[in-house]
Amino acid sequence: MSWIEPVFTFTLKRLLSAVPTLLLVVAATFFLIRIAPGGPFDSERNLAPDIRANIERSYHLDEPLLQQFGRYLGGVARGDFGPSYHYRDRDVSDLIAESFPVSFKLGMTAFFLALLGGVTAGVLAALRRNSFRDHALMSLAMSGISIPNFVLAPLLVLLFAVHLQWLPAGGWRGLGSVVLPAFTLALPQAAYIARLTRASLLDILGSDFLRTARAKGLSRSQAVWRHAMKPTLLPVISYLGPATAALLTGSVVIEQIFQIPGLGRYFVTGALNRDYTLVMGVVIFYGSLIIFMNLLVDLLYAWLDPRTHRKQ
Amino acid sequence: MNGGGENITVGGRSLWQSAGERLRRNKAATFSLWLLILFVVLVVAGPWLAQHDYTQTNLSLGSTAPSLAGGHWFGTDALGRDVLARTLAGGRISLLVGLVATLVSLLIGVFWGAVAGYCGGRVDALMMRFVDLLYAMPFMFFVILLMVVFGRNILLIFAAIGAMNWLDMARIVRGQTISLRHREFILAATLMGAGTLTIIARHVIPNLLGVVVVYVTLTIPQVMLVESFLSYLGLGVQEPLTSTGALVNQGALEMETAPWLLVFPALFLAGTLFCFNFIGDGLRDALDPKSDEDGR
Amino acid sequence: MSVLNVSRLKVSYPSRDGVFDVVRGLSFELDEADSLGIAGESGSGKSQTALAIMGLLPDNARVSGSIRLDGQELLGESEQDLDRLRGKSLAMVFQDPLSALNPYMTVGRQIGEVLELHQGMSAKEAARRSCELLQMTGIDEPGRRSKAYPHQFSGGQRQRILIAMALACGPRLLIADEPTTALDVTVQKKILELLRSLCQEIGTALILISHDLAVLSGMCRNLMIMYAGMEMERGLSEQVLLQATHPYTAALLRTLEDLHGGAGPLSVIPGEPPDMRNPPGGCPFHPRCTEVMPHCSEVIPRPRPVKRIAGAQSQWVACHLEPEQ
Repeated sequence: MSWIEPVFTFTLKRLLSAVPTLLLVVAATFFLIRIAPGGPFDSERNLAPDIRANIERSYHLDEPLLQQFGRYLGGVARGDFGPSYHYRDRDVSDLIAESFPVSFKLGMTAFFLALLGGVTAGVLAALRRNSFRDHALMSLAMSGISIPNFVLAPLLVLLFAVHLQWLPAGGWRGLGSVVLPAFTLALPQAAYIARLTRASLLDILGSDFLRTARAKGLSRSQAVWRHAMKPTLLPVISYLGPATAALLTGSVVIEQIFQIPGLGRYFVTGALNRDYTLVMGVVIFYGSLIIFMNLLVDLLYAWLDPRTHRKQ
Repeated sequence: MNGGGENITVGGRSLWQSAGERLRRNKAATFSLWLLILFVVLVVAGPWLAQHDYTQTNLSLGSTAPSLAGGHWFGTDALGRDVLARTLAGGRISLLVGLVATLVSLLIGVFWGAVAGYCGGRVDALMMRFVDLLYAMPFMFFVILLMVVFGRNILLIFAAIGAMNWLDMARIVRGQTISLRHREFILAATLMGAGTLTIIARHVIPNLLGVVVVYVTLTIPQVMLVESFLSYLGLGVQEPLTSTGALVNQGALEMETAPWLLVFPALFLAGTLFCFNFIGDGLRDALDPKSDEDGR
Repeated sequence: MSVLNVSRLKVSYPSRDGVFDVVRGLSFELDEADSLGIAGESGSGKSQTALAIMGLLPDNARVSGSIRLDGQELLGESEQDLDRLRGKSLAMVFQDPLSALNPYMTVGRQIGEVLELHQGMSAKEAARRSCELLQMTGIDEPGRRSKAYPHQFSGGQRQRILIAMALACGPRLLIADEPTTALDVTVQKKILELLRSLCQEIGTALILISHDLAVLSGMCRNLMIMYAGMEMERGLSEQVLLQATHPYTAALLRTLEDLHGGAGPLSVIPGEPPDMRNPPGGCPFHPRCTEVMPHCSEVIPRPRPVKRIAGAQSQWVACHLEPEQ
């Protein structure tokens, strides 16, 4: 097949260009921690100097910095982020492996919620421009962008968990416990996607090729479905990379609010406990995830937009 | 695009005049502008207006509900501190961070984008390559890491959030600069012997004003959101300073017993963000000549 | 039997400053396999007329009068019924072939779509027929090229594709709105030739819209000159050109002669095209007319038949001036 080779080349190129980015992420996180004042065990008072030195040696903290970096880099390449400084006897990799599935479930739910809700709202608004429906949906989208999710979350908990008692206020048991966190996490992204979709579809609705489609005898809805949806969705697809980053960031707060045992919550406690290896591990892990997502989005975009193909 | 400045006139009126007219017709944007001005005045004049200092504790008055008679219009928190004074103080920090960090990103972004776009060629390719590389970075996590490692310093917050937001600005400004570079008045200036930097400063940057204004208005709320997010996590400004994010965090903890602790700071934060977003949207529509006529 | 019968067509748009008319009482008819060229400056209402016939004006447009296709009234017809006619009996070719084609769909699919819609073909049949149509419009290797996207074709080829699409169902009427304006001069002639020969082959009536009088007169049997949304002069092309009766037609012809190598100063029509939000009263051309008379600014002249040569077909002229015999 003629398309396999260009897709393969493209993927390979993008994967190669992701390597320096990843290296930069790892190096930045590593050295940022090391130039910081204080060490990881400062908080533990009354530590005898020799015991302290022993601990530091066991964590290889006595080696030259570059050697430590090499060691860390090697570990990261094998998926080993080193031991946690706070949760003794636990590896950061284990902590991630244990808590990420929870975050993944929450994140994916929110991702599809935001995509479906945002695109639907945007299309409905654009198809009846300046109608009541358009104004109502766009006001909702404006609220989604302007009300931070950590403001919305407690209000929703107050309403649905405390007063109406329809849904649990927090925790991670049963389907009901996914609803509120996924919704609050998805809302700002749904709002962005809705605004993006509306603007994009309005642009397409005014385009010449849509008029051609009508001139061919397609009804308005046929023309929109067959000819406008794909070009409308292209900008939305290129937003999915940043959207993933925003969802991951948002999950940090959402998991905290709803007491969900996910990776985001480990990140916050890790940060507050000065558990450097844990924090670094999460940053690198999420960083790679975002880079990987951007790669997927680029591939999807290239596949959908024939203009990025080579000329015949 | 809407690059114009005083050089472009449409039907005898300058671009800015007709944009101003269109903005005035936009009710949501006009209302937001006045509300925002009110917020800013309140926040700046807060220390003189409020009867209470925002750090002053009064344990005998812990968690009193809002009342006009009691002198605490928005009530007090668990330590008896006046919520009105604290909301204004928090709002002041949030707005300040929003403004300063946006300014930082603006300076870096406009400079980077204008130089790359104007110089073109290899310089442009190199500078934009760097931007592409940074785009892939999980910035928010870096900022959090930065806060964890270096402690919660307000100057660091300015710099960190500012450094995070300049990439978009650089891209937009570069695009605009490239399209401007080939216009007659820039050519004329080159022919008259003006140097590169002079041209960038005198001709390119003023003509970018339209996009920049819109961008700034839409970046401020984003920055405020990031700041309040950090403060909410306990990684933002440190006591005795406070910000709306920190207030919302404290309010959420006691929302069942003292909902006013959550409601007022939340309203202020959401209200300010609404205002900026509406004004930004309004400005963008007003500066876009395409939006002039409906239908045709 | 006329294929198209337009009578007292009016198109107007509401705006903040009141309603303004872009087409003001246009009447003409077109016979089977006949051709009509509509000429006029930009803003004279030629494209609005075309879109009105297609039923593709923006939602806020107000249309009145009558447009009949094979005797069937189109104005006031339901959208569903119009959708059945568009692409089948009524077809249109647009000005800019690049933006008129969907950049995200292969050209084969875009042509096939019409056939599936109106002739109930299966996707396979439609694909095969698309290739034939591409071949017919002069695209080489249609089998391979039908799987390509619009950006992979040249401007002229794109317009050929649009013509193939428009003629796919053998329409009764084809409207071509400035079909060659966006193309290279060298390609223009070939495209126009293709358009004319295919229309004649299929028996399709053609309306060709252009600001180029020379192109129109070469292509079309009939000619209509529009100004400010109104008909100024209409008749057989050669008659209109040889015996231009309306001062506006005459002025247009003078500019044309100059362009084709006349000596002396370039002749232009003095004055500005009218502002359609506030058109001049009376004859819309009177502020620029060299033959202007006092009542020209008060009374709108109605088109009337004028016979300048005995035995010839009449041409219609909207002017108060008494033509010389």
